[in-house]
Amino acid sequence: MSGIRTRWHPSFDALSSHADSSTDAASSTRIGRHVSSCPECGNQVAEIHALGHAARAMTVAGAPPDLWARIEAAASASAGSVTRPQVHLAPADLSPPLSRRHRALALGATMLLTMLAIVALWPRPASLQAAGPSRLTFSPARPVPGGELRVRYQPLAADPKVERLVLVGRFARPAGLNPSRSGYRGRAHDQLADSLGELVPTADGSYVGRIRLPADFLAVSLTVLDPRRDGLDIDGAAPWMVIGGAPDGTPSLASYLAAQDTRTAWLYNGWRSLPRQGVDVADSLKRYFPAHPAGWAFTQSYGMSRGRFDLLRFFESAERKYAAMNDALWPQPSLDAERLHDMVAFARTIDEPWEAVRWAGRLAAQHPEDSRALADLAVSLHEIELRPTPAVGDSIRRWLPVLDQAYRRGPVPNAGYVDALHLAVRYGDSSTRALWTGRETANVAIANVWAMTARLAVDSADQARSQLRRHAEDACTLPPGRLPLASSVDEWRIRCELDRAISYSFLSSLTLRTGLARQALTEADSATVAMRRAEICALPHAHRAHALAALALGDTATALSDFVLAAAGYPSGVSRELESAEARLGGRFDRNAVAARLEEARRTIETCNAELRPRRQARARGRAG
Amino acid sequence: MRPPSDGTATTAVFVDDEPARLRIRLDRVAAGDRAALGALFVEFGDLVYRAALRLTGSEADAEDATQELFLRLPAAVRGFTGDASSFPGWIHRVAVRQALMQMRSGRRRREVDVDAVASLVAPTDDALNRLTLEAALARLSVEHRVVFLLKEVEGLSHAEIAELVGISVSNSEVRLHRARRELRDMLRGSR
Repeated sequence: MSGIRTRWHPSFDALSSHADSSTDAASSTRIGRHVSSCPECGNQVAEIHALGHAARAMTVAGAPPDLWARIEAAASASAGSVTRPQVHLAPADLSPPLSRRHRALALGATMLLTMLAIVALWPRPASLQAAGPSRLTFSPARPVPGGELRVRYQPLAADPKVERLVLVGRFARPAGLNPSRSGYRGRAHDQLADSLGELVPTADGSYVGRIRLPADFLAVSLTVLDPRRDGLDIDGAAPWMVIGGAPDGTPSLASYLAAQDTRTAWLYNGWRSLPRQGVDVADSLKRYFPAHPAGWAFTQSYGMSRGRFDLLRFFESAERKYAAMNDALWPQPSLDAERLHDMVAFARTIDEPWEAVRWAGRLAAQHPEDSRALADLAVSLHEIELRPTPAVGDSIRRWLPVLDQAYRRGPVPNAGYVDALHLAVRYGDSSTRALWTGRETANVAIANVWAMTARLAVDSADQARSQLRRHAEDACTLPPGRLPLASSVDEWRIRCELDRAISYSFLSSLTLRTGLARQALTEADSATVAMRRAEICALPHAHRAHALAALALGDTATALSDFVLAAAGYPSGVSRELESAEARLGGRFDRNAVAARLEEARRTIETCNAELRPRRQARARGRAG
Repeated sequence: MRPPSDGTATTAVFVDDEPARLRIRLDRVAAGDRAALGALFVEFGDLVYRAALRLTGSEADAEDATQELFLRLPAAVRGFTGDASSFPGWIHRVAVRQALMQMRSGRRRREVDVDAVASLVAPTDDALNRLTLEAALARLSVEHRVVFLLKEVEGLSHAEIAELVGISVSNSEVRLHRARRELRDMLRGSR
């Protein structure tokens, strides 16, 4: 592993610890002396301090004006009056740190007794709980195909006691056959599932139930639904996941990979949660440590923390494995694209972007026709950008010709285009920038379609249109007997309409490219109808599509109005939207008029959001019961 | 609608130092005086709400946490034995704890911020737009964000964080390092 830069300086974690030390203590340590003489590390420490300063300087809104009224109403409703003693409340629940210690001891003792009871009474292997504060436990921990899974659910103390809850679940299919993990229809809360069984209350306040597992059982995602109030409980940020074992009770690679395959992006984690092509820490764990117990039951939120923690302990051995494979493979004059791509993924998994660039560069040079070559190289270079790399521009600029070659010889449209474009725009000269931006027409719409609609497996705009049309025309009604896996029914309907709105928007853009402007306008109209059903006040995609179609039909006034709406609805992209509109409208773009209309559009959107807010909040509260 | 006055303004004619006035107000709250509770809300509602909002990242969750705290406050202040000057720190920590309980419950109370969704998935512009720290924080995992905020903004020690969050001290340190690293990478990547 010679040549890996991180060995020559203190690790980031060490610098982070150093940043927390007092000035006197810090300066006398070995790291402190290094930092004082190393500008690169000094800058990192300064960045760490700056993060803290910026976080403390963030402004956070105060309590909304109507909150006291709500508190007072709740007080009256629950207790008649706050003067009444709160007998249901243990004061320790709100105790400050001094008494928390005692409560923690009591809680710890209770938990210990509970755990001992569970271990003593439940069959082995002991019922492990998903890492983190999971309230759904399973037995056996690694169920076998055709067996029975016993489930115990511990509701919140404040939850109303109900006669039954429903276990909503979705069985994983073998890896590669599950719904796409990214994009709109691939998210857990957009997926549909079945009622797998009932949970009934017990004397101790928990609920229990059983599920008979199919003979081909691999893994299952589970959530708990209270059907009476459309209330849902999930494991923090994603469904609970139970991963099966082989019939003899040993870990099953097929089960693990199937479970991995069903892991889904969660909306609020943003794009960082989207699976990166070929790179997944847990996947790496399983591939190189198939017997490792981590991940027997995990979710994206809790389990992956545990996975990362375990991976840290195994990191060095993973590096040794990588080094051994590197030594064995690199000297071979000819390697297939699959192997090269795997090495790119491995290098990125162990956080060695320069190693990844090396392998990706070889993939691009030896197999430029491979569909992964451009994306592998562009994304690996982007990883370099994210690190404190001296003269990063020069380093990346050298690779631009290789990216160009991979683009020219690879398939078009190409999924790696957008990543490569950003590198070219940031580091290329004017002719390079012009070259890559000129390729936009052939790629961007398709790339966006992929990103937006579950990475449709399309090779052409025609295929994209037909798949988008299917999405757009698919009504938002639940099939009989089916339920959303990880959202309330109402939430599912709203997201479904949003999906339709975006699908219609892109469909309209693609239709316009074929010259059918009137049809494109109709599709853009459909996008705005779906947008309103989704309770959205402005959707830039829809307004932009409508503007372009109107412009193609010669209706400049409508186009300008829609461009302004698109800009007003996308605050962080206002200038880009308006620049785009000006480029298309030319002399018909009146800046003063646009500025006035932009303000008006913003007010309209604010008013609309203010009107919708109580409904959104009421829905959120209603769901929580 | 603002909370009613609790009459301590009149009391102030006789008791002119702030800690003593607060002590009287707390005694009234403990006795179930809703007007006194309203006055406490006026004084500390924003502090509580802001602490909850920072941690949960959700207005609905922050409102719920604030509501829960103030509903339970009459009973809880009976256990507050410190002097009045330490009350702001006490209620702030209780707010943090309440927000964590809210998050730990696993109960989803998030609003569907569809505008945020639209901007997340907007074509190509995203990577070119500069991220704010706030946006970067929103993209951290809950575990990392909570530890980062408790350490950097709330000023808690790792031992205190470990106790509050239910993790080990070393785990708290690891999460802080990871959070900083991810934030730094995100913010650098957006330049």
